[in-house]
Amino acid sequence: MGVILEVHNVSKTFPGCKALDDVSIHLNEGELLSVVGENGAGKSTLMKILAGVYTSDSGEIVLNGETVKIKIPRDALDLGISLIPQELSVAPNITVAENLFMGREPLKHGFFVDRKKLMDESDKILDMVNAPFRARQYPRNFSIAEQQLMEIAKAVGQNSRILIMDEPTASLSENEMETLFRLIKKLKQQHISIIFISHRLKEVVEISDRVVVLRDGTLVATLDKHEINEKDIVTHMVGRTLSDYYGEANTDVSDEVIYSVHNLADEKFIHDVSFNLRRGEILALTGLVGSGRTEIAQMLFGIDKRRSGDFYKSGKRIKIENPIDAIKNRIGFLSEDRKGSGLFLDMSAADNISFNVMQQISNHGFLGSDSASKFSEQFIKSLRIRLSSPKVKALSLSGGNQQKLLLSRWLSIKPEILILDEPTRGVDVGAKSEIYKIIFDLVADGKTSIIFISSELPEVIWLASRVLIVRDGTIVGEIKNKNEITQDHVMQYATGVKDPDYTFTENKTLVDKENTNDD
Amino acid sequence: MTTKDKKLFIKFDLQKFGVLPVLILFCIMFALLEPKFISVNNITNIFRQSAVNIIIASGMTMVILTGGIDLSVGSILAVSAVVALRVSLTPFSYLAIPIALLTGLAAGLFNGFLVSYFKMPPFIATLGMMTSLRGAAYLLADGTTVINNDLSFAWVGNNNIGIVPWQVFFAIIVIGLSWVLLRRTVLGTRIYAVGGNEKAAVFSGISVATIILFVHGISGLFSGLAGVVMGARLYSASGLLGVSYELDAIAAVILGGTSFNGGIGGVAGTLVGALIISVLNNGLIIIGVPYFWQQVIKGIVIIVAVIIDIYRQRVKVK
Repeated sequence: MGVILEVHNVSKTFPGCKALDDVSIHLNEGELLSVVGENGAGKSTLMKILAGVYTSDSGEIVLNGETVKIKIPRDALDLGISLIPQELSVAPNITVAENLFMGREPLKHGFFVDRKKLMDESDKILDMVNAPFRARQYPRNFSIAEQQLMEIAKAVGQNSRILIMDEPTASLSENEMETLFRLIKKLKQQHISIIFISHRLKEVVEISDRVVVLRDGTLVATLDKHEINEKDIVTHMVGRTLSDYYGEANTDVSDEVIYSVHNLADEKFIHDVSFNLRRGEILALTGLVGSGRTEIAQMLFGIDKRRSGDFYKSGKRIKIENPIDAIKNRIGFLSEDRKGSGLFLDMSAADNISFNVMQQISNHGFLGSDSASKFSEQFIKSLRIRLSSPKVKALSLSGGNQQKLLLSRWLSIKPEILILDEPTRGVDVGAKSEIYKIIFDLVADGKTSIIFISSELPEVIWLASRVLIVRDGTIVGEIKNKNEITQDHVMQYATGVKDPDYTFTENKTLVDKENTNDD
Repeated sequence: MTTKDKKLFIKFDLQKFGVLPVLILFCIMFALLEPKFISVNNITNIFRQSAVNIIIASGMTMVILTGGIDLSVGSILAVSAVVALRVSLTPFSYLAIPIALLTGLAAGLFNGFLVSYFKMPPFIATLGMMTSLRGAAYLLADGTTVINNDLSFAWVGNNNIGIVPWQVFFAIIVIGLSWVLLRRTVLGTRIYAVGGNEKAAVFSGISVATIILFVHGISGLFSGLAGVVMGARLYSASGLLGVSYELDAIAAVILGGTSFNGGIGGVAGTLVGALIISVLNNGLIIIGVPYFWQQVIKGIVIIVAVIIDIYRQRVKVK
């Protein structure tokens, strides 16, 4: 088993963050190498560099002993490196065969597509990957697993020697997963090497030949076959300190339940979500990407449609069918996607801040040329938003200041309940600690209670007075005592190392019922 | 603010003036080639010729600001004009203008209903309405031309206040009101918000459907007003009125720097855009450019303007 791929000292910097810092890994022939790490650890960046989606700032890639340059995805494919992306890209309107040979169709007379050869070759490839479908079929109603198989077949058909699988099991059932693992074994026997990315540590332990752990863009550990176990992986994945930040968590929260959610569920994924929020509390809703955190938060705000679920504010049942209802009930929601669903980039900072209360600050719907600017001043001052004038476009501000604009917009409605989805995503350390301070100040007088979502565990530990862990669309655990909120503890629930604590949800429902009876 | 930010800021400010320099350039060019171009008479003429387009394009600006389009404006104009003439021939002739305006408003609201309620793409919804209303205009006019030589509201198209023709006065009022609406009201801010980032508007508790309904309603209302002006000017109306006026209106909006994707622009630019089109129409005739060449040149000007728009979007992304 020789070394097929070596990555030497690769670094990559994005505006405002160092995604990869001097990372070196190697890959043996016929081996399955797992790359693990928290969200933002640099796994995806590294894989995208190998697949030619990004180019590295420095470092070199050596394939079969030769230094290679991978500048565009085509280069990677030509070198036999295929990325099976998380977002599959199967065209449903053309046959399986046409999908497999897209861009390199076998030709007849140099111009016409050789249909027969196309179908025959495709069927041969499909047999190699044990596909339950044939070349002439249309992948219109294919399941995620079948689409994934098509992507793998595509890679095999191109004689790829290295397959990079990004979270291939994220949306597979137990059975489909077993099938995939069998196929992986078969591919390994054909001396194909696989780089495997997964958050599910159980399966990583089960199928890996070797594991590398990334944290904050650096390689922190390489575990050989006999060293692989979940506990060690978790320990390597976490282990950061928060000495950079300041502020103080409010440990003494009142027992008064201000908001409770009963039996929230959507059409497919989210189920049996019930919890209480106490006055002045910072309740963290945490879990891995794809666990359902954001979906739950969006349902609380009336964006995502729900199948069932009731909301109670201070004991009274409230109706939340859309964001308009939520805002009326003084519930705010800071979206995780600052640019996509938060800011109006072409509008002024002042308009962005005052947007939710514009009617209130207007004179029967009419605004003076300075109404918005005047209103925003208090927030620009108190949140220390750095800008030359309230009239500059939101576009021209830095990530941290943009985030503060959005925070101001929600603070302006004087929220009683504020939902913060990834409040510090993509902001620098300075702005981060300022945002923490704002959050602490908000809950200090008990007028605002916060539900917050974060993928960054140190942040969860720093801010939260209580933590709920979400996995597979439901709450699987609760950590009540501040001193028990540790990264290991949270990670164990989130990755499934620790079995779901169902007693928690049952107790919760009981408590909720008692509260309702009180009304 | 760093110097780089400042540079960016100045650039955006320059964009506010948009194509005004182009308008001035065209004016100077035509004036040099043919001094008659700058006579008071000709300038009044240019304004009069652009009045209808300015009125329609103001409504179109609001629709395009939300990221939509209204192809039915020319047909709404025709229907409203025929309705106005029909009513003027009845004993209730004093109701001609209000009923024509209401007709335009109703047609526009129906467009808005199709887009916001059925989630139809605005292009398709208003394309359908464009065709249907064109037919309706012919039907209402019995396939001929409705004529009223004793038109009660003929002043709208033919009289002046001072030296300003009434239709130009109406156009100025429409532009003024639109500007106030877009720049000085909550509603206006929401129009920009829906076009700039619809998702964020939803997250902020804005009823996007209401905004869409409103802009289409306004576009219809303004088209109705344009129909009144046309009918008054001609003392008559038929199903043939306003054919392809939507294209001139869209051209004016885009020339004026309003982004086709919505969220950026305004009626000040549209006014300049509409004037450029009129100046081109008028100037090319005055200096004696053959008709077919006029078409070619106008098309090129529009294409170049759109290229500028695309370039502007790219600057934004960077």
